[in-house]
Amino acid sequence: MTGETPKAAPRTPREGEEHPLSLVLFAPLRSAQTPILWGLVIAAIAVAAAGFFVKPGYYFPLESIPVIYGVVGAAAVAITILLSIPLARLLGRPETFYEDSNKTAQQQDEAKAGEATPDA
Amino acid sequence: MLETAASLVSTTNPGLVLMAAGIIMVFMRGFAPRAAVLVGGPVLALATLLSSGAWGVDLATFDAFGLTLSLYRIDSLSFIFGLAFIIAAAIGGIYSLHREDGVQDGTGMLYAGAAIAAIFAGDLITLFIFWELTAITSVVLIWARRTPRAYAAGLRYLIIQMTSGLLLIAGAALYHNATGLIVFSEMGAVGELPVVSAIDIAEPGAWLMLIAFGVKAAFPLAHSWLQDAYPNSTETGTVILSAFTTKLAIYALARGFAGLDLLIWVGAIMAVFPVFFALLGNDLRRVLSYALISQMGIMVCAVGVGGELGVNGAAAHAFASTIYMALLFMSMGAVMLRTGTTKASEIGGLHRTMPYTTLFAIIGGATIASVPLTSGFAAKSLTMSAVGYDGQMWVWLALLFAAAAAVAHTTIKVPLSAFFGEDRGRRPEEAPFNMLLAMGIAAVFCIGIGVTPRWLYELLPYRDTALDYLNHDLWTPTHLVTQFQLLVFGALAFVLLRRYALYPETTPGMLIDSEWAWRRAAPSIAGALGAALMSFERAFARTARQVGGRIKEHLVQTFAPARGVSRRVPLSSTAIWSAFLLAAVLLIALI
Repeated sequence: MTGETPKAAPRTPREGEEHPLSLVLFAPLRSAQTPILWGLVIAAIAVAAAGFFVKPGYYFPLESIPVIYGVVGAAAVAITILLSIPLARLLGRPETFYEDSNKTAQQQDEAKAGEATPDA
Repeated sequence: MLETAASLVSTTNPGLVLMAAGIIMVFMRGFAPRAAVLVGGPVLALATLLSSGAWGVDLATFDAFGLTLSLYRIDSLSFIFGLAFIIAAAIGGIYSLHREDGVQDGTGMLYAGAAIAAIFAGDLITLFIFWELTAITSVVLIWARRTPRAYAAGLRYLIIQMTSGLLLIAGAALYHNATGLIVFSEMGAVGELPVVSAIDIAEPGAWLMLIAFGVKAAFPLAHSWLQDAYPNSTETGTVILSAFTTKLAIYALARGFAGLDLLIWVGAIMAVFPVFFALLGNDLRRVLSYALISQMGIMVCAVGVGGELGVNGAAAHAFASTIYMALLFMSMGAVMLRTGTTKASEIGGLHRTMPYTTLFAIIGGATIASVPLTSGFAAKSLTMSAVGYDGQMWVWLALLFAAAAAVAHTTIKVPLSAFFGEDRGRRPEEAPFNMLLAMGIAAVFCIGIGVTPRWLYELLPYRDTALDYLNHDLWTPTHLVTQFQLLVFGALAFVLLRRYALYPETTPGMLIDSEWAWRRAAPSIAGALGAALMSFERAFARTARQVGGRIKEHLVQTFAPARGVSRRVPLSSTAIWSAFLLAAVLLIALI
């Protein structure tokens, strides 16, 4: 019962297959990339402005810099994304990287065994 | 009779109740009996926990190895971890109902029971026994996938977990030898803290125990077992695995090493480095595994800061993350069940037919990012404040970095890759009802704790400090505005970078991590050393054969008839040589 879960073959989507809840909750989002971006811009302006009306944080002097949390948030995401590009080139390997290395070693052993017993 | 029963219940470790249910579960067949045990087991364990006897005393003891061991001891720190584990066991049980597999269900409950029993262990030997039991039972959940890759990953997992246990028992033995202490409740110097106290780190055994806890907590360079094993388990197994092992280690660290400065930096590194791997991961369950390590880092940091706020932060975060990480893993488990994969490069657009699962994944994503009104906000804020009050600015910045990066690698990436993004034409059914129910319960906890955190705060080890924080810090306008700034600007950066094609597209493949050292480099080095040794051995054997042959030839030449020694010597010359030798000996003796 617990074997490898069988993969469902991809198939062409058909009309009317969607869940009604999906149509209500998520359909408006599908072609809303630009509105989402503008929504975030407006939200960012709003929370940045709100920062001027509240007392600054009190753990470190750094917190008195306006919108410092926003700067840290944006910088963190940007650094993570931008640094991940060279990291992917450096550390990216095929899915079967370790399995292949094991197979190669095994094949090498077999080859050596073959050399050791040429009559076999 | 009733008094005897009540006394028995109040002195029974709740973990043992769940373990008994696990043994019964192995033999259960049919939906109703399985449901009764899978849900009834945790309910009974909860009833046992709530009817426990006095706190801070050994409720059940036994003698072994010339020591009095404590099978059950409860206090405010162990209570909240035990409660979180029982809730996770119940949710995991409901989540597993669709699939009749007695071995997996039974070992899952045994694993949960062992983890709970370890939480309530009052000494290091009892802790070790249940610590090892968690390793043995949990590996079955990985092997249950029944693929060659799962078998190999399970074996690696088992070796590392057992090593952690060996380090723990070795450390405990050394510590006992040096200090005479074996209890896991009042170790070393009992300071001003009523619940947790530090192990005396000056003792060598303490270091071994710290490493043992660190291996299970996925410390940097000891973390690779987590992202190796969890994605290779079954869809139900990963959910259960994500709840117990690492949180048990956090409990052990909080119990033994609260306030150890080293842990602040270890935690900060743990929180930051996995975010890059999570962002690049293709397998979304591996992405969540890295996200889990990052969350663990924040907890380790809280333990390192120590004090009442720090320990509260670690406990609250462990409680909340047990549930929200389970929710995220459950959503990916549902995807795996319905599509056979959780690779971002093979799925997308699933929101069309799996809207409930999508919604639950979004709630889990919002919680891990600490969006206000979620449990992540209520729990993580304690740690951030503890670090802030401790004056650790760089650590505080590192934790802010990790919190903001979670927006990218989990909150947006996971739902985007699986449920939105490129539509790959898959139209799977929605997850089974039991899975949706389990996810729904977890989501209710995520939002419930976020909206009304008071009940969680009242359960924290230092209740008064927690309630004081709730009344004066959590809901301040400054806290809310700064948190929204962090999240909104982070999300905006993500959207902008993706819009301008600077976001790396997820492609098939994997990223090598520290496991490369022992899966690739170590075998290569061992192979090279082996080859060198073989060459040396061959050269030595050849030389020995040559030298031996020459000696043999020489001896043959010497002792052969009519050669050397065998040659006849005249008696007179023998007498002369004997007299000469005798004179030499006399001369030496006289001198």
